[in-house]
Amino acid sequence: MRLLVSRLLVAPALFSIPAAVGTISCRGGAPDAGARGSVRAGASPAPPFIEAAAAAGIDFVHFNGMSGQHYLCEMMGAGAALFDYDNDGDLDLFLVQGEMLGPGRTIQQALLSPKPPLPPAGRLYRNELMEDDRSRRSAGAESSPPPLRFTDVTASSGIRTAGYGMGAAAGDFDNDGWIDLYITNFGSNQLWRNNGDGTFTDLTARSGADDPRWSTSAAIFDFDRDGWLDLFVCNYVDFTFANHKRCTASLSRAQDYCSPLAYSPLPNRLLHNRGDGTFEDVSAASGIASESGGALGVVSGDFDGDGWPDLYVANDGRPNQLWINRHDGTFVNEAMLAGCALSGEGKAEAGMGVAAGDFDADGDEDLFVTNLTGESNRLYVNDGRGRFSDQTSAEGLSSSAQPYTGFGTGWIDFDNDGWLDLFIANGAVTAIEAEARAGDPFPLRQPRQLFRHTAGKSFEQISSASGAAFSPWEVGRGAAFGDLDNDGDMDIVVTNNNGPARLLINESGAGRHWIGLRLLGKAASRAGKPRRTSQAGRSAGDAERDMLGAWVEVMRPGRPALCRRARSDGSYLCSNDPRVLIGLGDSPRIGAVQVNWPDGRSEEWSGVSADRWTSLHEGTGQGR
Amino acid sequence: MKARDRAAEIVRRDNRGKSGGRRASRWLGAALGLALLAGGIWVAGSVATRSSSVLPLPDPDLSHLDERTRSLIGQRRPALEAVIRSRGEKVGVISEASGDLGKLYLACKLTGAAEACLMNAQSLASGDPRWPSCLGYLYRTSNQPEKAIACYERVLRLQPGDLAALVWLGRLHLDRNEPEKAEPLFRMCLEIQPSSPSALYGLGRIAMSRRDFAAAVQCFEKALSISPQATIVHYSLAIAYREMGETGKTQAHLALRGDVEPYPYDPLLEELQRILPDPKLHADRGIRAFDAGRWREAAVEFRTAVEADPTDPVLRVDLGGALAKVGDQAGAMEQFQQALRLSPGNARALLDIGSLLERLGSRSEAIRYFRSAVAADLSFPEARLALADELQRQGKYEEALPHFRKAIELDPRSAEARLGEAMTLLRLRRYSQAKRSLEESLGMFPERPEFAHSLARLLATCPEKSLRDGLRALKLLERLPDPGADLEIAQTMAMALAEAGRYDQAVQWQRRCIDSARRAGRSGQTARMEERLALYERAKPCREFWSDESEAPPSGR
Repeated sequence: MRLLVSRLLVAPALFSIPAAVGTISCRGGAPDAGARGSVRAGASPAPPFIEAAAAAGIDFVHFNGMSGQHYLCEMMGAGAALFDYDNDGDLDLFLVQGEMLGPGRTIQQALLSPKPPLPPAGRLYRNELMEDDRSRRSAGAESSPPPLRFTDVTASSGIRTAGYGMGAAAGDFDNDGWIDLYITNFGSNQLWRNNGDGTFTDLTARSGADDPRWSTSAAIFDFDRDGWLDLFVCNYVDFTFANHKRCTASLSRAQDYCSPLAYSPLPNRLLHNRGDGTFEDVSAASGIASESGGALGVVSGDFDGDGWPDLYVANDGRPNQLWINRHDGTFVNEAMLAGCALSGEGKAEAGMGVAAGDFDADGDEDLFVTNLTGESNRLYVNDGRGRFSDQTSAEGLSSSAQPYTGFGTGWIDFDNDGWLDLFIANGAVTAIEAEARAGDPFPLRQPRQLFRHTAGKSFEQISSASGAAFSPWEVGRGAAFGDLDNDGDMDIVVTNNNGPARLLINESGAGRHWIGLRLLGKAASRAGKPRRTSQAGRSAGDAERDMLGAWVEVMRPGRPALCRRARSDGSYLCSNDPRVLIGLGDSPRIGAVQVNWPDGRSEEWSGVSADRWTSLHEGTGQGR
Repeated sequence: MKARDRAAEIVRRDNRGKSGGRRASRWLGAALGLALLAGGIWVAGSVATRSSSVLPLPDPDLSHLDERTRSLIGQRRPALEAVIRSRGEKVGVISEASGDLGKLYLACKLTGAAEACLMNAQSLASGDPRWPSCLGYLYRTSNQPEKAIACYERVLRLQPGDLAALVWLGRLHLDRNEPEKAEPLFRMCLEIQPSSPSALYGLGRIAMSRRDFAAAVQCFEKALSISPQATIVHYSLAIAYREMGETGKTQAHLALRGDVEPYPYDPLLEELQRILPDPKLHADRGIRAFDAGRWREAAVEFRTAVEADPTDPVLRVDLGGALAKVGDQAGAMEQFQQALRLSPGNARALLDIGSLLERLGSRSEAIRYFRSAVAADLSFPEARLALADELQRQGKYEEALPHFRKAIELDPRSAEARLGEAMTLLRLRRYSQAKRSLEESLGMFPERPEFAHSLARLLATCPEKSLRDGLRALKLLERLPDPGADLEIAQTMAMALAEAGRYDQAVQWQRRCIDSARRAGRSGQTARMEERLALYERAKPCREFWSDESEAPPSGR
């Protein structure tokens, strides 16, 4: 609803907060982030998304450092993170960057030159939404929303990325209320601690959070429910410049990218947060390192319904993994028995991105995995006990030979009708000969896709009817999901390999009702951990933070409850909005909101209003 | 009604209302044939035509194809042009030549060109089921299921008993979640060929979609009994058993699963694969089979890939590896040497040759190749490890140590390199360094018993008093699963008990070890074991670590 379509602005009265709900928190001192959306009568015939990166000041262009060698890593990145680093109530954006690849190679040898600023590096963009909104209000200009605007604050933030970037994950590791940033690389990773003053400090070495191998996606979750966020890092294959293999296209015999099967898969890493600023590598002790598959995507969730967070890992060319939490610090991979390791026919596929969500509204989370051209993306439907069945074709998502290679993906209810839809960022991994013949130096372009879940029946592809934002063919990789303009519908950041980042601003969702929830809690102090003081003199450990892993059930009179999980993981190489946004369809009526916190306790709130963002603070609801 | 007639009837029922168009197309095809025979409609090279139903002879860009493929097309296209020019040729001959070129384009994945040629072949010989069959394959593999379905339906109208068409059409309907359309096709297939595993597999999948797991089990079991090599069926069968609560059978079939599908016999597919085998496809299949321990299957796939691309050294190394696994050492060596000829200095080939020589007993030659592999790729951890390990075996500990350390630096998670380093340090009597190394590795690999065992023996027997700790050694050993089951670990237990002053227990453990060794026919070791027993009986601890080759420490590889 931003930029192109004028809308009914929110009256100041809508910011009032029902007493039972608690306060809407914008800890940066900004006015609350609620209720920027509007309710329009009738559905919009306009395309659901518009592309607005350049207009919003996002000038980032990914550089993949290719020089004609066809290094496997050059076509795999890169991702992005959506997180509110300055706590002002809107989502900021970090974009991961590559660098020149190959021993001794300089940027002048790049086949495709990088765009400024040089040298290429990860960029942090601050969302000026709340600042502009304040200015607008103080100027008395209530009638038109400010345009979405980002400012590049990389230099002042102190973030100096080092290495060839792949992905990013954002979470408050030290429980100080400020979201930290973990960047995965082809090579050593980086952990940047948010100092709370707009700057970050590199804590990689001190924290023990590094991994020198080729890392891809990462998930932040509290696997032992001790109140401190732990870290799972996907590692891919043992490709190095030294063991680089020459692979050729099947017909032309021209050099092309190798299959990941040409290299050995690497074990993943599980890092336990000790709560003192350091991590303990528990990969082996937890069982996680016992199996390797070439991991690209990961999502956490309670897949077997026992109240403990599990992990689902998408592996490229090898069986996917379902790591079931055994409540004692160990995990067991039950994917094969659970029926989500392979396709329904029993084939290992090229798992890239992954999404978890309750698409069929039966109260458990189902899985969607993106795969390679010629395979099919997979929908695994959960029976509530962690047993899955491949329902791809039954739900209309299958074709015998899928034309595109999917990467970033997410369950999003883009039209707020209460049913989760699917978005997929596509891009090939081996040369598309027609594009190569047309002279494209990086012939991996494919279109993105949007599938609408039609009233809980099946999925219908509506990409071609989704306007110009879906027209360009690009080398799509990451997709990060979040409500960038706080207007109550899901926007998307798409990252392209060797191409510009795209901002797909949702133009359709606010035509229906919605509820936006930020779930906050003082996890570590409740868990009895000592309060600590950071080097900067800030208290760490007892501030409120986003309760990643919390499960929300929104009761609706006469209709089934809607269930969603607060998470930042999932998709591919990306970190998503940790808040929960739920479309309500045509009725704003809500009965109660129940939150199951990560430690297993539940609370309920009544009187939560629709069509606004609301913060629910742990301990302020009615205990159950 | 006969099965073949019923198949045609099913297709007819499914296509009511389409027959008018079909008749028109058949008429056009015949008219075109006559017109061609009348002469001069197609002009060589461009094939201009007066009929809109005939597509121009395509002229695709071949620049991306390799020499061999270009030359194949270079022969077949002029052949077609020649028969077109020849006014005496019958329509059937032109159709055949057009179809042949279409198949070649299809094998080259030039789908647009293939489609045009095959459509022309079909127009000219509308009663020939081969061309809609080829088009069905083309559409099926290029994500055009509706067109593929129409083609296979056409095949079945022309040739109602075409088993491949029945199965492919059934599969297409299954993929579109149309089990009610797929079922009669698979059943028809079974009436014609009761032992068709692909039809049984299809019916099993339909039963799964209906949650009739007992019926699914029946179909899958029967498919496997007919075609045990169709290993992919085990997975579906396992899931069906899972749903029936039969955990044991579920696990058993999961363990047997593979990725060989019960394809129907399809002469077209065989022909296409013969025209232009895809080395990448076969290499990927080979890698999967190799990873799953199916060496013979891997060797077959790699060999097909090598035949398709004899110039790729990686494929030859892969083939050599698979051949070595099935015991064909000579064949393996030949492939590795070929890889070296194609890519002199190929580190993987050098390493594999060295490993093969090592296995054949030529250890000094093996070292030479390992050194070459290291020199060819300084950051190749496997080569470093192989060299270090062989040097250690030959007693060249000082030389082995830096290679183990470099291997660890290159791959910090290599348990083998870490163990090799620790064992080398022990051999060099650098006990405190060895202890540190083992402790670090134990922290990193708590599930690997060799680290706990080696550390325990060091703590129990180390000549340096300050490093000995019998109680800690006992604790380490007690954490191992069933320490009495392994003769070496049981002896270490006796050593640790002795070091802790519990000589009576040490004596009992050592006696049990001697009995076990005798029962296992390892009488060569009993003398030294007796000596140790005598020590414990005199209340004296053991101060030997791994003392000789017959009692070797765990290997780094």
